This record gives sequence, C-alpha cells and structure tokens, in this order.
Amino acid sequence: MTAAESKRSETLLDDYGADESVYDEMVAADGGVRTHYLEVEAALSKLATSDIADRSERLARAFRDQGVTFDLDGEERPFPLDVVPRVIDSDEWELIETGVAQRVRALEAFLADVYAEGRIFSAGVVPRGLVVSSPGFARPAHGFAPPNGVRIHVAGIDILRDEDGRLRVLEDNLRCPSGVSYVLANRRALARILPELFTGQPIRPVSEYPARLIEALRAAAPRGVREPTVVMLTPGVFNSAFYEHALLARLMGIELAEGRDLVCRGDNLYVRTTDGDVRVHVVYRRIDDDYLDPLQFRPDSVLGCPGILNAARAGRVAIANAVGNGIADDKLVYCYVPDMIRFYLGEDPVLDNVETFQLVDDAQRDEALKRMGELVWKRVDGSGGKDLVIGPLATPSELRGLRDEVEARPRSFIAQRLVRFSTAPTWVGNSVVARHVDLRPFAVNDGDRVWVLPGGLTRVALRAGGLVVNSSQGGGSKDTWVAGSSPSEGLREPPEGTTTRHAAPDHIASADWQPRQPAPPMDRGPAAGGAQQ
Amino acid sequence: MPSVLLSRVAESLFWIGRYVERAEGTARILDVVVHHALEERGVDPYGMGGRLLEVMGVAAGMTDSSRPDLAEVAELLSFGAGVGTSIAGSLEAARDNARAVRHVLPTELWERLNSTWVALAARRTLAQRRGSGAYLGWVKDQTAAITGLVDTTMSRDQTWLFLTLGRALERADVSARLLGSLPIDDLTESGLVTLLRSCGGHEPYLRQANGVIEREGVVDFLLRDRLFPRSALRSLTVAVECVEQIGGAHAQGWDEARGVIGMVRAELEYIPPSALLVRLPQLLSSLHRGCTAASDKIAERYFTHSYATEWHERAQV
Repeated sequence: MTAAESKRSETLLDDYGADESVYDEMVAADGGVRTHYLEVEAALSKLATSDIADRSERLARAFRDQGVTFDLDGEERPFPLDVVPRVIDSDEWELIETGVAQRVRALEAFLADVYAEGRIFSAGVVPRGLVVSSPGFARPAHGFAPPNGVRIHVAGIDILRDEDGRLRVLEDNLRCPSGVSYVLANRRALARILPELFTGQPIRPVSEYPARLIEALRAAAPRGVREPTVVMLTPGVFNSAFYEHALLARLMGIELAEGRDLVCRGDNLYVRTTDGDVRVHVVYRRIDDDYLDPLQFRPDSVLGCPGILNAARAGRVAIANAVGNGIADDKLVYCYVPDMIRFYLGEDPVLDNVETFQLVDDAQRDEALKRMGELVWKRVDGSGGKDLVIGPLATPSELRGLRDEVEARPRSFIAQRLVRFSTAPTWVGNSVVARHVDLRPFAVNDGDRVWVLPGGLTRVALRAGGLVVNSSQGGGSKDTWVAGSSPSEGLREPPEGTTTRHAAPDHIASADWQPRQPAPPMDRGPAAGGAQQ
Repeated sequence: MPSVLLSRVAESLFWIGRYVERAEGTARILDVVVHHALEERGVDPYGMGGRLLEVMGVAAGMTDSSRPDLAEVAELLSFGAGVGTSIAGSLEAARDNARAVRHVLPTELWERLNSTWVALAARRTLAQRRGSGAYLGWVKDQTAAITGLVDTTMSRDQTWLFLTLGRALERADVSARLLGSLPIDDLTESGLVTLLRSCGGHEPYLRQANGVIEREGVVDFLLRDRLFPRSALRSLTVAVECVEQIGGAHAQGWDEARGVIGMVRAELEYIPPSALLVRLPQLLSSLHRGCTAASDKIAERYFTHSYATEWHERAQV
C-alpha cells in the first residue's frame, strides 16, 4: 500500500466511531482491520467520497426502478441497500451453516414428534402443557405426516453477535420467513453498481437459492406424482412482501396464485387457468395458517382457499411450510431448542440462544419484572419486530401496561437480555460509520439435506446506536458475503448462469480447445451514398 | 403449466396491452388536436375541448357550467386522476397490472413500465416548464420502448398473445377515436396532414397515394389500409390472429370473440370507398361497440376467476 492510499483509507475511517463496548465486524479491539474485511476496506478507500455517494444514489434509484420495495401502511417503499457489504469469514460461516442446519433438523424432529406420539413429553424434556397452550399449536395438523416428512421447507434463523463476539440465535422463523429476495436483489444491484468491490476475493454465490427451493418443493409432492405442479400462494399486491413473492415465483418459473385463483373439489386442489382448471400438487404458501383455510381457521378470510387443509390431509396436495409450524417458533418453546438438539440428535448445540426469561416460572418472572426496564419483551407468537418492547426505550406507562399484561397472561410473553449486538461499516451521511447489524441465514430442507444459503440477509439499523433493524423502523440491508469460498465444500454444481471465480482447470481448457475457422466478417450494407439514389 | 396462464394473470396482461396502447393513442390524439387548434384560425377552443372529451368517452360528469376549453381538456387527458382515461392514469394502471403479474414479465419490460410510472410526477412538473409537447413526446418514447421490449423479449406464448390482443383491440378503438377527434369534413389539406402525422402515417400514405392528399383517401388509409400497422383493419386482423392462437386446440368450435371482431372487420372491409365519408359516424360507433363486445367475450371465456368470492358471499347469507 502506498503512503497516499493509506492516507485515504484513514480519511475513510476517520468518522467510523466504533463503540468499544460492542463487537465490531470490521475493526478489531486493537484498531486493526480484520483480515476478511481487508479487501473491501482497500477497495472502498480507492474511491473518492463523492464517488461512493454517487454510487449510493444510483443504488437507491436502481431499486426504485426495479420496484424492490416493501409495503408499509399501503405505501410501497424501497428497502434501503447499503453500499458497504457485510463480510463473513469462511471459517465462521462453516459454524453458522452447521448450527443453522442442526437447529432445523432438531426442530423438524420436534414437529414430527409433537404432532404424533410426543416422546419429548414422556421423556420430561418439554412440558406437554407448554405446547398445547401455544397459539401456534394447530389441531388440524395432529396425526398427519407430510409425504417426505418435511414441514420446514424454508427456515430463517435470526442470529446476533453479542458483546463478547459470540454468535447467538435470537429467534427461529419457521412459518413464512421472508427477506431472501433482498439477498438476491442486493447481490445483483451491488455487483452492477460497485463492481470494483468484487474483484478482490472470491465470494460464495447466492443465485442458486431459487433452484434449491423449487427442488425442495417438488420433493414435497404427494406420492406417485412425477411431474408436480407447484404454485406460490400470495395474499396479493398489498402484502408487505409481495415483491418477494413475485421475484421467487419468477425465478422458480411457477405461477403466483391468490386465494381467489384456487378451488378445492373432492379433496383436489385446482388453479383456474385460461384452459380451465389445472390440478395443483404443491403450494408454497406465503399466507399465515390463520388465513389459509376459512373452513378450518378464520371463517372471514378471503385470502386463502376453502378446503385446502382437507386436501392436504387427504394427501392430494402438499403445503409448504406445513400447517402448525408456529408451535416450533413459539418464543417460549425457543428456550427448549438446545434441549431438543440434545434429545433428538444427541449432539451439543453449535449455536447458543440469547438469555431468556420464562415468565411462566414464578421465580424467573419476579426476577424479570424487577429488571423490566433493562430487558426486551416479546409476544411468544410475534414476528418481524411487531409488539416488541425494548425496556430502556419504553415509557413508564408502557411498562406499567406491559406488567399488567404479563401478570395476567405470563404464557404469552418472554423477556430477553438486551443484546447490544455487533456493528459493521455502513455508509451514512457521506461517511463510513459503525451501525448495528443482525443476520438472517435461510435454510432449505428437501428431505435429504438441509441446505443453507451462503450469507443470508444482513439488516442494519441506520440510526446511530439504534438496535431495531426492521425495515418498518428505519432499517436497511446489506449485501452479505461469505468470503474465501472453500473448495467444493457445501457446494453442489453451480446452477446455470452462475459465474464462479475459479479459472477452468488447465486440462479442460486444453481438451476443449480446437483450432476453428474464424467467423466470417459481419454483413454490411451499401456504403453511404451508394444506394441512396 | 407451460402453455396456459392463470385467468387473473391473463386478464392483467390483456389490460397492460390495452392501457399502454391507450396512453400512446391518447398522446397521439392530443398531439393532433392541439396542433390543429394552433394551426387553424378561428377554432373554437370550447367546441374542440367538448368534442375531445366526448370522443375520449369522458364527457359524462362535465356540467355545462364547467365547460372546459381545450387547454383544460388537454391537462385532464394528460394528467387526470381517473384510472385509464388520462395518459398518466393509463400508465399507472398498466404498471399496477404489471406489478401483480411481474413474475411472468421479462425483467426489462417490468422495469421500463415501473420506471415510467416512477418518472410521471417529475414529468408533470417538467411539462409546466417545457410545454405539453415535451410530455407527449416522452410518452411516445416510453410506450415505444415498452412495446419494443414486448416484441423483443417476450416468448410468443399466452403471455404475449393476451398482451398483444389487448393492444390490438385498443389500437382499433383508438384509431376510431382519432378519426372522431377532428371535424373530418371541414379539414383543410394541412389538417389532413396533421392527422396522418399524428400516427406516423404521413409518409406511408404519400407513397401509396402517389403524393395526393385527399379526404376520402386519408380516411380509407387510416381505417382499412392492409399494411399500415395503425389502421383499424390491420389491428382487427392482429386481434383475430391472437384470438385464434389462444383458442388453439378448441379452434374448430364457435368463438364468440372471433365472431364479433370478424363482423366488424367485414363491415369495414366491404364498404365501398364512395360511402366511407357518409357512413363514417356509424362505422366509428360500430367499431367502438365491436371492440367493447369482443373485450367482454374474451373476459367471459378466459378471465372468470371468482371462486373464493362466490363462496364467501354464500357463507354470509
């Protein structure tokens, strides 16, 4: 590095302002840049501040023109994408990948068990009352096993890094986890607008996600169906994640249906087409259980399809993710996931939980209520940051109201230690500053193997010191890189269109190479003036 | 399901075709009418405004006391809020339909539809500074890019067929409106030229008419030239071809939409040139009616998709 470059890089990080009491993804405690961030830091340092600002603006414009949006209060808003990628070291990724897959395997075993014999209750590991009292427990799912045994076709596992640098699982999302479309869109947009960043190091590709997902969905088809018709079920254009539904349907080449496009007759599910009704075998639904089937759940729902649950129970159609998964991502059940891993898999958990108070326990509840103002309070069936109360940010009256609710219905809440999770370099107001980031890796289960998308969605709280990363509350996202692709490890054949960074091995290059006739020159018309008369 | 489409998706594609064509057609009509008013002396701006509203089918709701002049009508048809009546409304409606079915649209086509919609507000502001001509020119550029992408990026499967069918029906309808927007009988030669120019037909007309501009010839050309892509007859021919291809395997049966379009086309095709001008008003209105009826028949056959709603209504009784 020349003196001039090092000077520029100092300028870039002048305002970085990492908080020493939290872990920073880029800058180590001694002030040096961590190895896996060196390339990004060097590439950014070569750019002038005004260039980065310009790229950042182009990135926003590209997202707006592509309609990469989420819906908030009936308005389409672009999801801000930060120009600085989040980089994950390949060794650490291996840990995350293993930990996420382990969790999904254990949670699959748990679902299969609680909707059947309930071995984990008899063994005294998880109390039966805890499960049947959960709002996520779906009686219609009891006694029914999906054809290939998979209930969690897609999972999104939220992970934080705590003050000491340890990765911890914050929550499991096993119903309709969303956000993967931004992983795909972010990579595409950033590679186009900041190609300089990508030249330094190999990055694991994300583009195979749709191929893995459609494989898993096809594998879930009812027995005996060789060429299953798969459709995606969306609540419609007003759903906050509609962009994602459309993107995934397009990338998987399947139809995007609304409830009104579907009809059940004689336990078969059909979709209404220009050529009459066509039988559907697999539904990748992005509608909550409650709205899926008005005959079984909310009778006023017009989003779902009456009779679809009976069709599924009759084995004529597979629903992904399965009905009743809410029991496994109930936040009180979450406390038992490490025990499940030991019970079902006989393994030690790779990833720890965040310290959580079980409020049904009198002693834990008393302790938590005493420390109310310093904890994070969540509803057990909540997701996406809704109804979340962060103690230090809550008003006294909010806390009083919450205390009453908790005392009346302790089963409905949990309290967690407020983790001041790690920060990463982020472009805000014309400089690179430290902002808090989380991570949501996505796992796809096809019944043979749990595949984890390299990286996942990094969300960033754009406000200084902010700990809420939700898009509805001023959060943005980052392209997430798994650096230093380890050879063949965890990778299947790259799908079409994926460019890997490895040069073709020499023997292939030489065997394929044949001396060829040069192509003839392109045809040309008459020279100007020649045929103009 | 590679060869078929969800009914709802087919309907949206059909309407994307119609709305984009409507935006373009409205821009062309506004262009010709505003030009005519500028070039001809003694044009009554209120008369022209009223005629334009009527021709565009938005006269309803306007009271006599608020009779707008041409400038106000042009503003309304450029930026008015009504879905599908103004250019802005049509572009927005096209984009909303596209958003609901973007999973079957080529990315570039979706992005062009979306970015056109995103740019509308800024273009409106710009039009106040640069005049409406700049806006209408931009609309024509955008719709040309959109239809160009339809032709270069969409497979000729049902997605393209339904979109093109909507476009063809709308284009036939718009050519009728274009002919109705000016007092044909009173047009001078320069008025006829403006009319031809508005749809890019000036040079093609001159070549096939040996340079002679005459009223009857111009009307004949715009209504039923076999080769000119914006003639009503040519558009109806495209519409019939789409309907036949969509019908595919069942083509031997009676197809209501094909019948309706065929009847209108026959009427256009076989009327003697000498009767064209006399019967023009009747011809134009039967063209409108035919397009509407064909649209209804297509909807009836392909777009019915209201299962859940029916079930819900019965449940409430």
